[in-house]
Amino acid sequence: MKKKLGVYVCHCGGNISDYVDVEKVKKAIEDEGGVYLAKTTMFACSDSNQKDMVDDIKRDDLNGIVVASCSPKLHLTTFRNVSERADLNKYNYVHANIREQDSWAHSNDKEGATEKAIRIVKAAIARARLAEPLVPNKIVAQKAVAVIGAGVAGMKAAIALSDMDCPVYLIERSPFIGGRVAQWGKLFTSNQPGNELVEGLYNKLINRKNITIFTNAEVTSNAGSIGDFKLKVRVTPRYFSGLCSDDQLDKAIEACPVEVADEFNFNITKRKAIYRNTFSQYPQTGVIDMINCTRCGKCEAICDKIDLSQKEEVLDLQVGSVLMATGFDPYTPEAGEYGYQETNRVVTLPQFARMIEMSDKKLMHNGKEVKNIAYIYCVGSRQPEGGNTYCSRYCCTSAIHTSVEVKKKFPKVYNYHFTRGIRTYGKQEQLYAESLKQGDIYLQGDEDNLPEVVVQEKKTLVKVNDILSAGRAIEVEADLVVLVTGMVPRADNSVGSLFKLPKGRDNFFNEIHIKLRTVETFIDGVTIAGSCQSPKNVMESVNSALAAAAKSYSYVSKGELETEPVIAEVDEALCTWCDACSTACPFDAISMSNDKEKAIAVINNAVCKGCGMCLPVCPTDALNLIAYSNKEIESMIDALAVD
Amino acid sequence: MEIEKGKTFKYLKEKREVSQQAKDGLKEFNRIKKAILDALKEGELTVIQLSEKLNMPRPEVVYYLMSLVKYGFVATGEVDDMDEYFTYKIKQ
Amino acid sequence: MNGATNHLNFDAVVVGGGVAGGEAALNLASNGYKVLLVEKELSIGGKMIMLSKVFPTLDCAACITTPKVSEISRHPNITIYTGSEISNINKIAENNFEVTVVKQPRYVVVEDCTACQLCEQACPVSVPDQYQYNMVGRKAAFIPFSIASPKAAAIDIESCVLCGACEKVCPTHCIDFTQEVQTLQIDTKTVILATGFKLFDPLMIPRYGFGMYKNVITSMQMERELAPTRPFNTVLRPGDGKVPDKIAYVLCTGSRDATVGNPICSQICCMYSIKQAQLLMGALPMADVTIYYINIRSFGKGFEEFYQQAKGMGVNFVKGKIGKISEQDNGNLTLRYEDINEGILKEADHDMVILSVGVLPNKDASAFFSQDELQLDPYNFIYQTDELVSPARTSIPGVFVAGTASGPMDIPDSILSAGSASSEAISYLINGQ
Repeated sequence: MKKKLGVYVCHCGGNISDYVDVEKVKKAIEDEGGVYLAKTTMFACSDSNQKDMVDDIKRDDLNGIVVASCSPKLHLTTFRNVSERADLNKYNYVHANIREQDSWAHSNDKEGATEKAIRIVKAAIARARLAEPLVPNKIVAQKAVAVIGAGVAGMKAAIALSDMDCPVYLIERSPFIGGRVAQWGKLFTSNQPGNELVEGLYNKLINRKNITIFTNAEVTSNAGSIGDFKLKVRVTPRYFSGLCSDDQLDKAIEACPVEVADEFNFNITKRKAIYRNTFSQYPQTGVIDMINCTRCGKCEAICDKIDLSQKEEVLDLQVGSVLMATGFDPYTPEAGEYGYQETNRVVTLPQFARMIEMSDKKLMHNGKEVKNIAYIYCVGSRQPEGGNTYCSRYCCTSAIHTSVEVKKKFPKVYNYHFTRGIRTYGKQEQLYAESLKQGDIYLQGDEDNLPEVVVQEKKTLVKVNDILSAGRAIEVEADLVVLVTGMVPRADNSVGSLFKLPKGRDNFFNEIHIKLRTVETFIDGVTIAGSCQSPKNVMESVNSALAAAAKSYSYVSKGELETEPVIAEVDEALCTWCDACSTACPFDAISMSNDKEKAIAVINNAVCKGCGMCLPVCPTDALNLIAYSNKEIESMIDALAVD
Repeated sequence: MEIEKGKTFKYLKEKREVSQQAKDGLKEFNRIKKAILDALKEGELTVIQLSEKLNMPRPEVVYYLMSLVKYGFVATGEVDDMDEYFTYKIKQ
Repeated sequence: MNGATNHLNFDAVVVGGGVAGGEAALNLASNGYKVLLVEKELSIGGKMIMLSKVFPTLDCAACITTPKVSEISRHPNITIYTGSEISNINKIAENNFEVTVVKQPRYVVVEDCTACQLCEQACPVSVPDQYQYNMVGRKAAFIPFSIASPKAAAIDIESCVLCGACEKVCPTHCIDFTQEVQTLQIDTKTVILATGFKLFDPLMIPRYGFGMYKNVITSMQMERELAPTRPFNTVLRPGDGKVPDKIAYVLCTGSRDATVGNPICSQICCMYSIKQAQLLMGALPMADVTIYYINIRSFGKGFEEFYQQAKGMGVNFVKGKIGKISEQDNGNLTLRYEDINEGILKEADHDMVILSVGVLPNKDASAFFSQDELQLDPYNFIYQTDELVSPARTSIPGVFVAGTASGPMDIPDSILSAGSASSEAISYLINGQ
C-alpha cells in the first residue's frame, strides 16, 4: 500500500526550537517520498495538537505518522494513542527524538543541530514508509495477586485488593505478620501504638474470605510472567498442630534449653528456640525456630500440640500480579562506628525504642539509670564517602519523636541531639518544636565535621564542633549513645532477584518514573510498595501500598491483558538451537522447544520485551525483531548517512 | 429579545454595567502603549532608556513592554556587551 | 437557564483538577466509575502544569503533565467542569451525597473554539496575567495558557469593556455573551477532596520588601521565568529588565515561622529552590546563585544526591536566616543575615532575590459542608482521622482527601496519596461504608 504520511515537528516550547530551526526541518522533509503533510507545532503533546492530528489523519486518510519531538520514553504512547483514536493502527506511528538526542545535546551548534534533526526525521520517515500494522498479543490474566511481605504496606495492600474483590495471597517470610511497625512503640505523628495498628489490620485480614495468609513462607521460584506468575512457596512449619494453653506454652518455653538472640528486640535480649509472639505480632501462637532447635523433645513432652515431625511444604500459586512489600533493614553500624560494639553504652535507635518499651519507672542500662542520652544522626545515611549517599527520610522525626516519648516516660532524662541539620519535614516540624520546648539540646556538625565518640573505661564522651554555636567544641558525657540509623535495602534480596527487579543506585527497588509512576516497575505485572522502593514513614508506606494495590488490580481485573507485539520471532528453518540467544536474553524469554522435528528456540510472547539483545548473537540470523527488521533499520541508516 | 449571533455582547451590555476600573484600565493601557511605541519609533531602546524618556518607573516599563512583546507589537533586540540589558524595537 | 434545572449522577465527585485530583479521577475512571472533576480555574493541571522542570529528574513539567492532562480530559468516564466551584455538599446517607456546583460562564462555547487566538488579538484590553503571576499582561478575551486544557478562549468579564471586537473576528462564532451562571445538582456516592494548597503571600513579611522592591520575586514567579512558556524572552529582573547575575534564594519564607502563623515546614521549597538554582546556572552560566537556608531538607529518593549535585555545580549554600532586605538605587538588594556558621551578622549584595514561599492550606473545602463537619488539623489542612492506617479518610465517612489538601507534599507523594484516596473510595463504593 502506498504510504501517505503526516509529519509533525515539535518546538517543545523552545526546548527544541531554541536550537533547531524547526521550520527549516519541516521544509527539508516535506518532499520526502510518502510525506503528504508536514507541520510544525508548539507542543505536539498538547491536547489541541493531538486533536488536530486526529482530524488530519481522518480527513486526509493518512496511513502513517511521524512526530519529531522528545524521547519516545515520554511520548511514544501518547502518539500511538492519537493514531488509535483516528482509527489508524498504532504501529504505523514512528517517533523521532530531536530533543534529548539533538537540541539538548548540541545547544552550542544551531546549524549542526538543525542538520541532524533533518536526518533523524528523514530516517523516521523511511521507517514509517515500511511500517506495518501489528496486533497486540493477548494473554490470560489470573485474577489473584501475591503480596510479598506482611508489614504495614503488605497488610494494607492485601485488604485493599480484597475490597476490590480480588483474591490475595499474603506471603510473610517470618513466623509473624506485622513487620517493623510491630517492633515500634508509639508511632509519629499520631502517637498510635504500633501494636494497636497491627492488631486492627490483622483482624481485618482474617475476616476476609479472599485473603490467604502464609507465615514462615518464602517464595523460592517464579516461572511465569505478567498475567500468569507461577510461584513456588516454601512454607516452614510452626511445629504446632494446634494451640497450647498459655500456661503450657510458658512451661514449654521455660523448658527449652536453647537460647539465641531475639531479633524482634534487635538482639538486645534473648529468646528460646521455641517462642511465642509478642503482644504486637500475629498470629498469637508459638513457633519453633528449627534452625536453632536441637530437637531435644522437652517441649513436646509438655504440650501435645507441639509436633516436631511436621514437614516443610511447597505450594504452587498462580497469580496475575505480584506486589512487593518486602520492607527495609535498619542500618547496622560497623564495629567501631561511633563506638558501636566498643562499649555497650552505644545502641541503635531501633534498639533504644525496644529498651523504652521494655522499661518502666526507671530507664536502666547495665544496671545504671540513664540520665544523659546523646543521639547521633545520619548513621548509615548521607555518608560522604561511598556507602549510602541518600537521606533515610524518617530518622530525624523518628529520633525526635523517640526523645519526646522517652522524656514523657522518664522525665529525668536529658536529650542531646548531634544532628546534621534537622529534616522534620511538613507537619513533623511540630515534634521538633515540642522537643525544643521540653529542653532538648541540639548540636550540629556537617559532612566535614562529624561528631566523635570517645569510649573510656567509665564513661563515653560525644564531641562535635558545633555549627550552631560558631564552631565551638562541645562535649557531652553520655550514659547512653543512640545511633540514629537509617533504612537500608534488605540484605537478603533473593525474592527481588526471582523477578529480576531492577534496583537503583541506592539499591532499593527502582520504579518506572520517580515522579509519576513510583509503584510500577520495569518488570510487567510487578508493583512495589512501602520502604522497599525508598525510605518511607508509616503513612507514606500505606499510601504507596494502596496505590500499588490499585495498579496490581488493574493488571488482573479484566481477566485478559494485551502485550506489545514488538518482540523477537524465530525463523524455524534457520534456527539450529545453539543456546546463544537464551543466554543473551535478560528476561528469560527464550527457551528450547523439542516439539518440532529439531530443537529450536521459542519466544515467550508475554515476557519478551523486544530489546533485541538476542539478534546479534544468533550465528544463523534466525531471529528477527518485529517492526525493527533489517530492511527497516537499513532504510533508516540510508536516510541518516546520505550526503 | 432576539439575540443576533456574533453580536451577543450587545445583549450583555444591556444587562451589565462595564466597571469604571475596566474602562480606566483600557485608557491607561492605550496611553502607555502609544507612548512606548512612539518612543521606539525613533530607535531601539533599553528599559532604562525608555523609563527616562517617558518619565515612567522602570518596573512599569518592563511590565508594559513585555506585554507589547507578547501581543506582537515589540521585538527583543540585542543584549549589551555586558550581557545585562536588552534593547527593544518595533516589530516589523 | 438559571437555577437547579440540571440533575446529574456520578459515582464520584473529585474536587480539584491538579495533579492529585487528576490522578484520583483517572484511577476511579479506569476502574469503570463515572467521575465528575470540578475545577475552579479555567484549566485543569493545577500548579504542576505551571512549573518549569521538576526535581530531581529535571523532566520538563509541561512534558510530563500534558499527557496526563490529555488522558484525563479524553477519558470517557470523566466529565470535567472548569471555572466551577462547589457551593454545597450534603451527605444524605452512606453512598449518597448531594453536591451543588456553580459553573461560571466562560462566554465561550468550548466545543466550538479552535484556540485560533484571533479574539485575543482583537481584544483591546490588557490586564495582569494571573497565569504568569502578574509579570506580564493578557487580554480580557484570552486563552489561559498555551498548554491549558481545555485549550479554549475565555472572557474575563470583570475586565471586559463589552466592545464586541472578539465576537466580530471569531471565525466559529463560539463567543457567547448570553451565557449565565449555571447551578447544577449532582448526586454522587463518594467525594474526593483534592483542593490543593495556596502559596504564602510574602506581603505578610514587610521586612523582605516584596511588592515594594520589584527585584524581589516569589519562587513561583521564577518558575514562570524558567518555563518554556515564560513571560520574558529570558530570565530578567522585573525591576528594570536586567539579566541578573547575582541571585539569592531566601528559604523558609512563610514556613517554619510561627510569627506568620505557619510553624510547619512546607516540604518542597528546599528542593524546588535547588532545582531552580541548577536551572539558573544552565540558563545564565555567568550567574552566581546563593541559597540562604536554615536546614536543607533533601529527604526524598534521589534528593540528597540532587543537593550534592547543586553544590558540585557551584551553587553557594549559606546557613543563615535573612533579617531584612533593603534596596539600593540601582535596584540591587542588600540582605542582612546572621551567618550561623560564623555566628556573626553579615550583609550581602544581590541583584535579584527569590523568596522561596511556603505551602499554606486552602481552606475552601471546609465551607462545602453545611451539615457535617469537615474537621481541619491545627494548621487548617484537612484532618486525616486515621493518619497512619487510612491516610485518605476525613471526619466524614465517604469523603476522602488527596494530595496537598491534607498537608504539604511533593508531586510523587501527591500521586501516591491520590492512589490511596481512590483505592479507599473504591472500597467505600463497593462496600457502602
